[in-house]
Amino acid sequence: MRSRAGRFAIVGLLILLPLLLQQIDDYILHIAIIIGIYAILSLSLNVIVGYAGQFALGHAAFYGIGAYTAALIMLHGSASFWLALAAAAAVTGLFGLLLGSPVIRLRGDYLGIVTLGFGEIVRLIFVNWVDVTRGPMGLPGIPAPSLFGHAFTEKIEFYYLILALVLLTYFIINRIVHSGIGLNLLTIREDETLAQSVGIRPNPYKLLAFSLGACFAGVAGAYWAAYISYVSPDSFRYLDSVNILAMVILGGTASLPGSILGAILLVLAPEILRYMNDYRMMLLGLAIILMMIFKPSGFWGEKHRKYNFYGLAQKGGRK
Amino acid sequence: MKKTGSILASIALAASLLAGCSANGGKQDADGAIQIGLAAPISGTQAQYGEAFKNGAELAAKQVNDAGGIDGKKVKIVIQDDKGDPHEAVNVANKFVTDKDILAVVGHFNSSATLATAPIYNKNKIVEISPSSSAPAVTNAGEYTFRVITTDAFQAAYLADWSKELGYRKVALIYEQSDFGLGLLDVYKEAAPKNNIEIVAAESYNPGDKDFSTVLTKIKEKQPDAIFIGGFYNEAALIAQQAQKLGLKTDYIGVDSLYSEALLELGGDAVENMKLIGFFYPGGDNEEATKFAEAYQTAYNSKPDTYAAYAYVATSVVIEAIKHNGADREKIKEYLKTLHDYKGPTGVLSFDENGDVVTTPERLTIRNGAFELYQ
Repeated sequence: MRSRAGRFAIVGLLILLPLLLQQIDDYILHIAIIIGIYAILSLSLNVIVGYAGQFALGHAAFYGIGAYTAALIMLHGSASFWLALAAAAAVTGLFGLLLGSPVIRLRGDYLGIVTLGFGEIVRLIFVNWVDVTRGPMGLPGIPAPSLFGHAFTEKIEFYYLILALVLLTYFIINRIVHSGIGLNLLTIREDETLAQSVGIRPNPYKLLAFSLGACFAGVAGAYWAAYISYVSPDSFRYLDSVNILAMVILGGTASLPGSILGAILLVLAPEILRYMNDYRMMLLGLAIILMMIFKPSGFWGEKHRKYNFYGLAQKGGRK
Repeated sequence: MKKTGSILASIALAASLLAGCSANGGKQDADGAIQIGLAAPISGTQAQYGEAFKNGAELAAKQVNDAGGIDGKKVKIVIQDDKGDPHEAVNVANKFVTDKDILAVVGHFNSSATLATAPIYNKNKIVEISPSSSAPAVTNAGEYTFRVITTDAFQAAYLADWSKELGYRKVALIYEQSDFGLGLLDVYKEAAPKNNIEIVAAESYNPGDKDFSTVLTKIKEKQPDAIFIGGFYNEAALIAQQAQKLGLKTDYIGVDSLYSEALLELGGDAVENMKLIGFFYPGGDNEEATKFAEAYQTAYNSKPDTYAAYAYVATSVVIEAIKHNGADREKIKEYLKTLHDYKGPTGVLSFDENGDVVTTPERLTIRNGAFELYQ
């Protein structure tokens, strides 16, 4: 993973993957796409929860705002998907900032409760603002993205689009969290008083984390709207927020590959367990409990301790 | 300790994966059977309806199989859980369309799930027949999307006509803040002036609300001839009881979603004389309904609800299509397009050019704590 060649190999493999998968079927390709959407969501939430240490429970709200913004712009403004994508990212980023401003004064549980409330408020706005969102009826008939006059219809095209978006998200978030900004965020997460005493002002950094996280959730939302071509309020419930948070924690907080792993696990597991019928969700819950008992830092979380922040092996730090 | 943990975890995961593979492999055993998909909320907050769906659909398959199947082939219902969540529903839809053995899909429960999955079913040219999605938008969802429940629009318009016949002049509306409630509200409001009805109040509530005293106090001042309830039986029973306590004397009229034994149990004498329409009314003129209720009672030892009946009808028409036109996805659609006056437990039904059902409801009322036909 750390080596350049390894990264290229993974990207190359992901590009070739659908050629293999398409031989199998569209369903698996669809699951790969869903994994991509959740990978973006968990990566973006990881910035808030993992790096900034802000226990936020309303991520589905940002996802929903992104989806609705893109849907409304494409339906009423007949804008292209690409413009809608950028607008969705900008609008949700702004909402992240708006939510961030009052809640950065809160910590821990209180923050969790306020963000939970935010998520519910947003969902209720989707339900009740009938003139704009058509309420619970949702917005059908969202056009598919098109590139150079060619409209996306095949799953494979959507797969490459989400792959590009995941890579872009990974690249940008990776660069940010592995820069001085990321180091400052981690310092704030570990000890806010200490951070202040060495001259790091927590508030701008927390706000940055909120708007960055929200912004990418908006990207995922815009993609979802265009992919499914229909948005409705019950796609963005409290349960979805919890699910995304579970991906971050299961994969390992403050670990980007961990977030992707978390997304893969929590999207794949319920699908693989379909044969269990009634016991499916129970078994999944059990697996998560076991996981938290035996591996509380998540699957990829421990890596974090073996390497220091700049990706160097710890022995460099020890001297 | 840590190592043991990770080994345990990986074993557990590997085991479930392997089990998944073998379950997929096992599918080939069912080769030759005619497979119909059923997408329903088996888990989650709407699991009770998922159960009704499952029972209704499986009863339809069982009856055909007991009679020798279709050309000697057994009918098998393949159930997938959509949790009533559009995300899951889309996964299920993709799973069904890629499985070439699935000939048609009965589902989904929620209108939002049906609408989210409609593009997938239509693109892959497979019939999706919803037993319960009554949102008006489903009408235009595509030529492969059918439903055996009437639209909310139809019910509201029908009730507006009936209100006129009952001589109501001033009607207050209480509706659920959902696609369902809003749809009813719109149509009833629109039809009111034509029927000489004045809407004196329109108040909404959220599903699950328990206290209606504020709403009812407001309505009491207007002295309506009747209250139109656009919601479900739980709230309807509470509304009637709380109105009784407030001394509000008025008639009630409502849609088929009120029609449930639970309304009688919860409402007691407050719901006496409530007028509602129903499609599935066993013990009345419709013999099919009575037969279905008896078969259901024998099979599951419980009374069927409306959704079980709808799921039974949806599955039955698909089976009917396969019987007549053969086991082919496209031909099932063609058959359904031409289906005319099919007699089932929810009445005599046909499909219009949009795949919406055309049928006439029964007029019901509550007398002495039981539903009976309104005379």
